[in-house]
Amino acid sequence: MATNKRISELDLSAAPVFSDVFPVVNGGTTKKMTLSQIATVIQSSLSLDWGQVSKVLSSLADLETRSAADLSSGNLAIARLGLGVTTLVTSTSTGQNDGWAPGIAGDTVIEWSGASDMTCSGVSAAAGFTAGQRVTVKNTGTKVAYFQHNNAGSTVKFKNIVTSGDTPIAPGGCISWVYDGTHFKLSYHDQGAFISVAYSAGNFTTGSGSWTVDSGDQITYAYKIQGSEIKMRVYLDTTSIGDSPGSAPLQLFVAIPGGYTAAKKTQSMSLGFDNGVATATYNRCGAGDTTIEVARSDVAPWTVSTNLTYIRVYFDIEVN
Amino acid sequence: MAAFYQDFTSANTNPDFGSLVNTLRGADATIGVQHVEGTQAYRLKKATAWLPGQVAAAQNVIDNALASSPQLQAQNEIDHWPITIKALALMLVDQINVLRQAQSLPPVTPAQALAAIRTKAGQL
Repeated sequence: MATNKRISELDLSAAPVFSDVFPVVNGGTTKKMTLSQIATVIQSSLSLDWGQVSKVLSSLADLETRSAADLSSGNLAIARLGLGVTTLVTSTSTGQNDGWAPGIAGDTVIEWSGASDMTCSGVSAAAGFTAGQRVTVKNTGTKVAYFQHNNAGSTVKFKNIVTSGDTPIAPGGCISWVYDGTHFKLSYHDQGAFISVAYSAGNFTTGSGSWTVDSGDQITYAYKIQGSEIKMRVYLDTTSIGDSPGSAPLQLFVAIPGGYTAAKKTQSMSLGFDNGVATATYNRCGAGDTTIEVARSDVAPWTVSTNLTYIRVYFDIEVN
Repeated sequence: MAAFYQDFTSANTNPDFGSLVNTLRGADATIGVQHVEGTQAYRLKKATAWLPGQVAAAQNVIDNALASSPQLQAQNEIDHWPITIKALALMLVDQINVLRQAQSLPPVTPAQALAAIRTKAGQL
């Protein structure tokens, strides 16, 4: 219970709280105010300067002592950006994704780890974008995410560098676009791991005769897109050459994976084994081609043989 | 043509490829070999299903294949000389035969000449 004493006779409050009541003289009349009300009046009437701010227990403890030189020398800890400026989200989307909406807000990094491959034509316009906004996708999983170029499936499209096929990110890969007011334009891409091509007999053809590559002959058939370049690695063992229809083939053709088309005529040396004999070979393609030509460097036909033709392709070319 | 694969393991990690294939194909003319030099893993392919006896025979061939050597590799190269080198060797044989005829000696045939070169490579 409150006691009727002079103020000077009262004990000091041991643990004041905002609900404590204080007497105040207002317009010649004594009234009461809570400590919370008094604090509000003080805060609104004072203009606090840096010296009045307690820094002792604050993360700003030493900021007052910093100089302009600290800013230019990099001695200051990196400041946190405001809420919503950067976003880190995860996605496990798979299959075809039109209008992808993984939770883009501000500059966004998406860590993708789908249980199966994903193909994405663009992002959802609902998020609302600002020119200069960056979206980055990092593949933290074990499958492959393919991003389509200028695809009609989405309102907000990707504008990639490679246009004749999708731009993929395999495990460890990363891709980044910047919004230009209309589209997301590719600014950085590293595919990460090579992508292995599933066996298909149709990937191995010839102009005349026959070339038989069985599934167990395909030791390596992989590629990596980097910028506008495709790196192809093909290692085929125990394939067979026939001379029907027509005659034994001069050229064997390996499909450029992913539907990409060659941008320029290119040729490189390689080594194969024709009828089991080490043979110098070359790899070549022309502008617009969808296959790589593999032929003997002496331009002789491949020898008709069963399970004794070994083909190696180590070819880096520019693609459209 | 059907394809049948069979895996093998052998301590013989560096066989002469030509000799190995020739010996294996003595039993089945469609056998091909997948092997990386220095490794124990082999994969053999042929056009018909592998029978237990064929597996055992192939394993024996792999285990006992001649080790690769500069002499065997040279002989393999000679067996597959390009036309340019064959022309050089046989032109010299023609000239030698002119001299041999003057000495009433029988001519050396191209096959004999190439066989002699091959034998010499194996002796170096």
